[in-house]
Amino acid sequence: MADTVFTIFGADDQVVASPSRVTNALWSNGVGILTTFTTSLAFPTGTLIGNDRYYVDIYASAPATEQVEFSLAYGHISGSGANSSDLDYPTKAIYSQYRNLLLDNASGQFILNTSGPISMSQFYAITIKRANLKQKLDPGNWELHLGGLAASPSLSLIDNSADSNDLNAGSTARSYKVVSGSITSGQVGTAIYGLVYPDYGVLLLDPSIFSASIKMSLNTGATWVNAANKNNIWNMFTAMSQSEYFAARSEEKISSTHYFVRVKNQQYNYSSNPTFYSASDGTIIQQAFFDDPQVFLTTVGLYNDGNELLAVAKLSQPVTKGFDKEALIKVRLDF
Amino acid sequence: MSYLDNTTITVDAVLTKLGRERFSQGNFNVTQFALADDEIDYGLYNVTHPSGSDYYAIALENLPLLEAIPDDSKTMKFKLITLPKGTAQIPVISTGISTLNMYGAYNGRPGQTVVVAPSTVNGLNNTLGYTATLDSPNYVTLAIKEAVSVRSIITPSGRRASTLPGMSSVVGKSFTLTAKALPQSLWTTGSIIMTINVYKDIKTANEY
Repeated sequence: MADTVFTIFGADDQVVASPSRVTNALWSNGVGILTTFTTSLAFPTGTLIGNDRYYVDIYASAPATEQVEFSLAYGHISGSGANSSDLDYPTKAIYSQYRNLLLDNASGQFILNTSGPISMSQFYAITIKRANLKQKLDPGNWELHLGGLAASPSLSLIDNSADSNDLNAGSTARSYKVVSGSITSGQVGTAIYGLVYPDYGVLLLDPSIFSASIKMSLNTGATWVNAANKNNIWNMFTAMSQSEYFAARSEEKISSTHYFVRVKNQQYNYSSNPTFYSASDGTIIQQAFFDDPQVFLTTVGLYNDGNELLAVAKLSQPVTKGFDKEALIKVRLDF
Repeated sequence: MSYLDNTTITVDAVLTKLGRERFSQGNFNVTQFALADDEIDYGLYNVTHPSGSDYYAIALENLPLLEAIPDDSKTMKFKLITLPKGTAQIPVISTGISTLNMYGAYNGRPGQTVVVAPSTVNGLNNTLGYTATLDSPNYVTLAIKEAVSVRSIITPSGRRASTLPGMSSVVGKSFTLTAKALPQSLWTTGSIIMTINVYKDIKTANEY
C-alpha cells in the first residue's frame, strides 16, 4: 500500500496554464461606475499649500472613510496656472514629471495628432490609484463625462483603442487617443482631447480643446489668484462633478497552475476525524463502516517536500469517498 | 439513455500564510497533496433514516462548506488516511500532553526545555517517526530529540525533510521544545499560546 496521508504528484498531475486575461470593475469595492466625486480640497479661497498645489485626491464619498480612487493634477509646460511667487513651479513640475515618465524624449511634448502636428502644452492628468488599477486600465472600456449643467453641455470621453493600432507600441509607453463617444456606441467625431496610457493608468486631457465647449474656466495666466475660476484643479473637479460619471475596468493577466488530484478507490477511505473513531482505542464508531467505510472529502491541501501546507482548497459540498468510488479534483492556484 | 457524467470537480486554492512566506523566499514547490474532512461530523450519518440506506449520508452530503482558511495551522486538521479494507481501528496519536506551561529565558537563565514523545495506539511501523510542526517559531524552538533512520525521512523528491532551510516541520521519534526569551512586556504576567501539530505518516512495516 502506498503513502497513507500524502500522495506525490506525478509529472502529468501539474499543468501550468497559459496566463488568462481578467477584467474587473476598476473602482473600490468592485464599483464599475463612479457616480460621486468628493475631495478634501476646500473651495479655494485661501492660499494653497503643500501637495494641494500639485494634485488632489478624488474619493467616491467622504475622504475620511473612503479609499482614494484617482488623483487629479494640472500641468503646464511653462508653469502657467500657478502662483508666480511659488518657486516650486508646481504646474511646470507636474508637466515635466509626466513627460519624463511617459515620453521617450524627456524634453519633448505630447503629440495629439501626427498630421499637424498638435502638441499639448498643458494637460489635466488623471492618475488612477494603483490598488484599483491592478496591472492596467482596460483600454476601450472606460468612459468619463465632463460638464453637463444646463448651461454647460456635457462631453463624454473614451479612447480610440477599438479603431487604432497601438500608438508608440515600441516606445516607453503604449497610448491611445482620447476622443468623444461612449463605450456602447463608440467614437463620435474626429476631435482628439488627449492621450490615455493604460499601462500606467494615466489619462492626459488637454483643456484647451474642451474647456470652451463645456464652459469650464481655465487659468493659463502667469499669475494665480485665490479665486475659484483661477484654480485649475478646482475647475476640472467642478466639471467632473457636474456629470459624476466615470466608468472603467481594470485588466490583469493571471497565471494559474492546475493540480490534478487523483484519488483512487483504494486510497483515503478512513479518517482521523475525531467523530470517526473512538478516542479511547481507535475503534471506528459507525459499524456500517467496518466493511464499507465512507468518508466525506471537504478539503485538499497542497504540500511541499517538508510536509508544509502551502495552499488549501475547499470543495463547495462534501464528496463521498469509499472503496467503490474514485475522485478527480482539479485544484487551480492563481499567481 | 442520457449523457455520461464527464465532469471534473474544479476548486480554487488559496495560499496559506506559510505558502506566501515560501513564495516570497522563492521556495514554493508543491510536490504532494493530502485530503481532509474538516467540518464533517460523522455522528450525522444516520443508519435509521426513514428513507432507507441511500439516505444514511444525506445530512453529510448536503452540508454547505465554509471557505478555506489561509492559516496552515488551522486547516487540514482531520486528514483522510489510506488503510487496508477491513480496518476496524484507526491509529491514534497521543503526545500525552494537553497543555504545556514553560518559562522563557530570562536574565541569564536559559529557557525551559521539554521533551515531547508521541506514541501511537494501533500503530503499524513505529520506526518511521512523526512529523512535528510548530505554528510559530518566535518563542519556542523545535528540535529532534530522537531521530529516525535516514531512510525514513527521505521526502518524496529525495530530500531530507529535517534539512530543508527554514522548515517549521521536523521528523523524528521524539522532539525537544525549548522556550526562548520572552518579550519584556510578558516578563511578569502574560502568556503565549501556540500550537504544535504532531502526525504520523503511517506505513506498513514491509514497505521499506
